[in-house]
Amino acid sequence: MNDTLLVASIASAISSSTAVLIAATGELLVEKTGVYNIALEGVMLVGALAGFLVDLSSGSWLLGLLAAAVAGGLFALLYGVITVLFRTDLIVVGVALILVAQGVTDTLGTSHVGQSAKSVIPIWNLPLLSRIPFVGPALFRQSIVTYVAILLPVGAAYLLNRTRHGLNIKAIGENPEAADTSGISVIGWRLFYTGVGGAMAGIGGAVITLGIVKDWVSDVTAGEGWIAFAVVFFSGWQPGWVIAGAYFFGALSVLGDVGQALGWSIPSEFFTVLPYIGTILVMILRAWLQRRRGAVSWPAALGLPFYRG
Amino acid sequence: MTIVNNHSDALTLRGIEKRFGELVAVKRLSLSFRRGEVHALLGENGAGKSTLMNVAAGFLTPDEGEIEVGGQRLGFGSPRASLAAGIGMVHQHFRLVEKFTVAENLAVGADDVSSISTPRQLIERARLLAEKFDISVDPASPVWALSEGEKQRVEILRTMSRGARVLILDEPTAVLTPDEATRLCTNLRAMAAEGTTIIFISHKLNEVLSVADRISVMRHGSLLETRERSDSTVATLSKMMFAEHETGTNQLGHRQRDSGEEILIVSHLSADDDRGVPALDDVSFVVRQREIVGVVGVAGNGQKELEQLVTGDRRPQEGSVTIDARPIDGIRSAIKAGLAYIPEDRKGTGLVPSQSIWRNAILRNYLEQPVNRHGIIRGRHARSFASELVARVELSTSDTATLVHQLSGGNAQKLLAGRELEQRRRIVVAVNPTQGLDIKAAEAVRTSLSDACDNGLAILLISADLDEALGLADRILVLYEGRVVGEFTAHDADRDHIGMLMGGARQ
Repeated sequence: MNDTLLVASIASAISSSTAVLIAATGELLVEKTGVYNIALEGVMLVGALAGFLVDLSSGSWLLGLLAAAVAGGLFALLYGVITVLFRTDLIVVGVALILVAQGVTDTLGTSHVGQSAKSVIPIWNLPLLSRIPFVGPALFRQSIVTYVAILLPVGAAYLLNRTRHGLNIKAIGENPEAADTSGISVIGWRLFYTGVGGAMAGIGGAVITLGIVKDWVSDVTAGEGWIAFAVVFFSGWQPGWVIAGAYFFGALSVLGDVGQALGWSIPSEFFTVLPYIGTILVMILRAWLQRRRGAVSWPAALGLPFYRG
Repeated sequence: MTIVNNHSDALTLRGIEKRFGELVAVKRLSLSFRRGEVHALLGENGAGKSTLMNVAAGFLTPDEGEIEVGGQRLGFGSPRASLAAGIGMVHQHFRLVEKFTVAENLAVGADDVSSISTPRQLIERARLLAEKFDISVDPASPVWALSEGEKQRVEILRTMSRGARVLILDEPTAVLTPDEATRLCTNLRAMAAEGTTIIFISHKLNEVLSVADRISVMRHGSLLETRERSDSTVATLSKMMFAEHETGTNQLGHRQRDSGEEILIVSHLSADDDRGVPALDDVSFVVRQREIVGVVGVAGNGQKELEQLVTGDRRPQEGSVTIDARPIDGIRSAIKAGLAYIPEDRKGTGLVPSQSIWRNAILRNYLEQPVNRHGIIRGRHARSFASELVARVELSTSDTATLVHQLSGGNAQKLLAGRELEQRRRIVVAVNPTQGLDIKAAEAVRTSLSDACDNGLAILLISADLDEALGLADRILVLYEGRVVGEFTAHDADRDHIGMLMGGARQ
């Protein structure tokens, strides 16, 4: 393999991981409070379209991301109100909202199919670092959001492991009765973080339309919400592993391009399904490793509704 | 300005009423707790003790009444507000995060923890708290590795560290070993001496007499009396706790029967409970055909283990259980030998609440003709079988498609009893069969038990309700700390004497 191709592939793997990384970090926070937002794919899609439309009308990618955060946050909050407040089934509601998101974005986006984003997220060559031969172009000539995205899990780790608030969030996800007894608002914080996680997934969606694909097609997220959802499980609810998981799936998704460029005699369809097959294989591996270690790492109250008394 | 409040009162409950649907769990109850006293709240299971205290600690919102703390009225339904007012509760099932360390558990929701803290700082904070309140805990240990007694100390320390001046403990010794229980009582006395008010929920008479300054006895949601410990004995307290109902169950009248052959034989049975602590010690008795044997005792004296052993749900350490001379070594063998079972948890163990009446009705005979033919359940036959059952036990609905969770407790119990009490069975084990039922439904269930017995069944009635046992049983066994401490026939049963034995008095 020649260096140019390798460099381009690594750069592309990193940039295409960004959306999953942001969405997965948000989902990690939600799940730490004991709620899983299975509608993540739908939330990303809503964010992707909202970001794209605002970008078109305002000509500002930053306003686009902002709009994506608001739209994703509100859409996720709808999910939160239905499931957390009214204690309905997470999966049924989640799947229903994904279908709603797909229908609505498809309809609203029809007239924009094929249109390009007006303002795309700019590339920022890091001073000095980007001029290092080989490493520079591979790692340090990314969009601004990509640099920020990798800091998010670090911030989440700090929040969860070093702050009083993080301790309280984890207590809600582990044992809501214990948190309630200590005077923490279980329902309130679960709703809050469902909204925060939604905002992050929304931004993740807009990163696809404004930074990776850079135009609108129907169902533009193409399962990245599901992959983000899987990455959280893969991570064992540890922020550091969210980074590893997201980049692993990013690498799988560019493998097809590499193969094509090198003329591997493997059908391109194989590489298209690779991230999805990879998800399954990695989950099995992860479950196996976890069983060997004998540790249960998910929040103990994940997916359980909270009743007082 | 007039001083209305006695300033030595730390907590005052006025006219508290709490209803759950039709059930009135606490009836217009008023009670004051003094500063620095250990106040025991005594009563049978279901007397409303825990409900009352959950109201006081903000976990339940009462339908009526008010709470006053140090002269201030308290808002309802918020554990946070109650805690801020100085009322904290340690529940029977601990509310700790198992994965967290002791130090982390103590820090959850605490306002005095700085917003950014390292694990080391949290451990140091926990160490200081343990020192301040003189409660020994290991701050760095994860909670899952602790014994029940250690977990309880973490709970108490957490509650105290939030500024609780009134500490409520719900049956605190239920999960403890005897040593741990003694240690807890010593600690509680010391805390009271420092000015903390301790409210101690219990149904154990001896324990209450050894730890409390004052004792309030509750029954059926009402306060009977508050007494000084010095005025109380096992005899006076048990008399109150187990006093006759106003709606005299013995009006039912005990029936004369001639008992037949021995059906259930329990011999030299000894068994441990789930904690590995001995729960039954050399228990022997028989139940004959056409005989009701009542086992009475304060909850937690081995009834649960006895029930499990007789129904094949627990293996004894020593001794044996036989039904019709067939040894019982599992649930299946018990059923084959002719066991019918009316468990206490009627909508959990006894019935499948999410299923219809007819599906529940055939649970004992779904493998037999005519309901089942060639391995296929025939809906028409099943439904007609269920319709007959429903008519016989006079359910409020005749629609057998109704889901069981829609039935009231009384109707569910009639359905369950009707299904279990059929001729081909040999023995019925019924556990608190009328608990939580209204008078009419309770009457119907008792009558059906009596009728079934007349028709040839042997019945083992495990009941926390002494009056019910006295009204129904031909013989009564008193269980205390896993031993049969008294046996009476229907004629020589003296309720005061039985009550004292239940409370642990020497015979």
